[in-house]
Amino acid sequence: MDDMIQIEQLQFRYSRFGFQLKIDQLHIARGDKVAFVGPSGSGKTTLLNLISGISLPLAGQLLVGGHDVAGLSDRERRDFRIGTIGAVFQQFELVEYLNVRENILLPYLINPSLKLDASVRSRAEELAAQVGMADKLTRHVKRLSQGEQQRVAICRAMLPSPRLILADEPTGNLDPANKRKILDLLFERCLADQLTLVAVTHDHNILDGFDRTVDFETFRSEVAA
Amino acid sequence: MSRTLYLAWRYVMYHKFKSIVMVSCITLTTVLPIALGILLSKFNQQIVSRATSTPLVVGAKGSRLDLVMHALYFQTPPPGHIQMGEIQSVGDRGTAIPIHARIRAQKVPVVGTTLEYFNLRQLNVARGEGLIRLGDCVLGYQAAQRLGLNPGDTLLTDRENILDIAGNYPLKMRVRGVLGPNRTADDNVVFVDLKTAWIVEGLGHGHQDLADEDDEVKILDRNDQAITASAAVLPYTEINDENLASFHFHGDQNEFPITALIVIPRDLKSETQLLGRYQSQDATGQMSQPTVVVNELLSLVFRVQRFFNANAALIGVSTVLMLILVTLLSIRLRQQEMQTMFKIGCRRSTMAWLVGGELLIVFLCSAVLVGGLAGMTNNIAGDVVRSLLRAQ
Repeated sequence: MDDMIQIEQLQFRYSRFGFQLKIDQLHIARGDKVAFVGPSGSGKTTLLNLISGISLPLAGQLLVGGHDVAGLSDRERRDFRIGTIGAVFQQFELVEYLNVRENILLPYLINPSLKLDASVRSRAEELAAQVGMADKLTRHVKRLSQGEQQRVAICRAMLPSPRLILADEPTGNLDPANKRKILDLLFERCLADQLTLVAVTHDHNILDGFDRTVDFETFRSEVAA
Repeated sequence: MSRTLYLAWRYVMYHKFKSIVMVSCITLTTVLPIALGILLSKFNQQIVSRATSTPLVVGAKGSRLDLVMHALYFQTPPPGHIQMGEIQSVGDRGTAIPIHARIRAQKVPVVGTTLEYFNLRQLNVARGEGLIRLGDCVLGYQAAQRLGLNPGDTLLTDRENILDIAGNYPLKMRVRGVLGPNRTADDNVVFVDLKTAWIVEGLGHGHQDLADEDDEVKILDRNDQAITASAAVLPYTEINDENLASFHFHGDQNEFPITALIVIPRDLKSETQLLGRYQSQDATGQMSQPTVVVNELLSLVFRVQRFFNANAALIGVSTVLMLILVTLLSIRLRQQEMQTMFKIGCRRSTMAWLVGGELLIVFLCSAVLVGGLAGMTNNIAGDVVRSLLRAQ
């Protein structure tokens, strides 16, 4: 099985905060469900940002789907991110002035590299139906429960048919019942579409659903060393 | 681009109150000087056009502006009156049209004049007929609408002073015709023959024939030349075919009052001679060129407009600063949203358009409103200016 993410001798530093991240080697295979765990400030979200091209490494190699993200221009990185990576956030980060349908379609509204046509609209509706939101497509997101909001956010991440889902504490703001439902939904969607899932979490109770766990404590030791 | 504008539109619609405030600020700041400019332009156009078509006016000595405004618009009281004989001082140097405009009928000015006035102003009767005999009146288009009168109706003149019980009786006039719309001050007045105006003033009257009257109560004195009637003989308050012949004037009509005289000089030389004559100390009245007086008035108006424009410019700068502040605050408030967009993969240009699009929509809405309001102002400006001139 080839790798979705290949990291070799990666170094990153926030000089303003005195923070450093150093990863000698980390490979994540396509279709894997990997959980990043570790204490706060250990670099889990930073690595998600590096993988998605939001931040750029100081040194080393980072390949995502075979692409050297750091070697892309700003515009190429944005286009790459929107087409290849689906992002799910702890705070859901839905756009308050749009309704459910528009929030799901958001990637197609903000980047012309994705072409919005009838098939995309229809897929958005299918996704909404699959997560039980078909009857709430015209509802404003402020009028949704937290669990519903995260379901909308997952649909938004899935719509462009990404190959990789990066989820930053996707269940961090959810009650236990919704936490389970959302995780099941994420795993189910990833399995259905053969997606790679990388999720940051502090919740060790949910790790059983992942194929693999990467503990950032290891990298911290390396940094300290 | 269209998708980004759609998102901007959704943002604007979601934040309706903020958007309405921004649109209102821009619209009001922009439309006020534009509307004022349109009104002033119409005012200028109307007042200059009226003045240009009135070469010279003669009236009592006093304020030139009062005289010109009275002779052109009939709404303000004249500085005084001159005698009908003044018309002779014009002689063959031009045409003189007398104006008598100090009586009212149901608060509408009644203008006594001659048929030359209708030719000068190119006034045409749209309904009914023109002035035929004493006691007839022809209504301006707006005056007819305001009074709700048609040809065949009657119109009673106002009493000069309701406490003056010994004063003149109001005259019931016959509405003979209604003029077509002229879009000038002539639309808002009632026209009568000059002699009818004098009858309303009490300078002429009609009453029963006293030659064969034996009632001593009605006859104070009788001799071979004249019969002196007592107050028991009441003058007719309406002129009709039966009593028309009994109407007569006492005194020399050359001494009867008129409030202005419009003079159309034969040529430039005649105009200069007439102006020269009225500049002499012993002239009984004054002669003014309405264009000169109106231009003096306009120069004052435009000086005031410059102050207003400066004020509008300052308000404009304040509005722009306010918009900058609102936009900066908006960007700050949308930081989280922008961050999300960036993380998802929004292009830099799209992010700029998301903010710019909001402003673009706000400005477009304002532009549409400003355009509509300016168009509306332009449509009603003529009437507004006329009503302002009427209300002075």
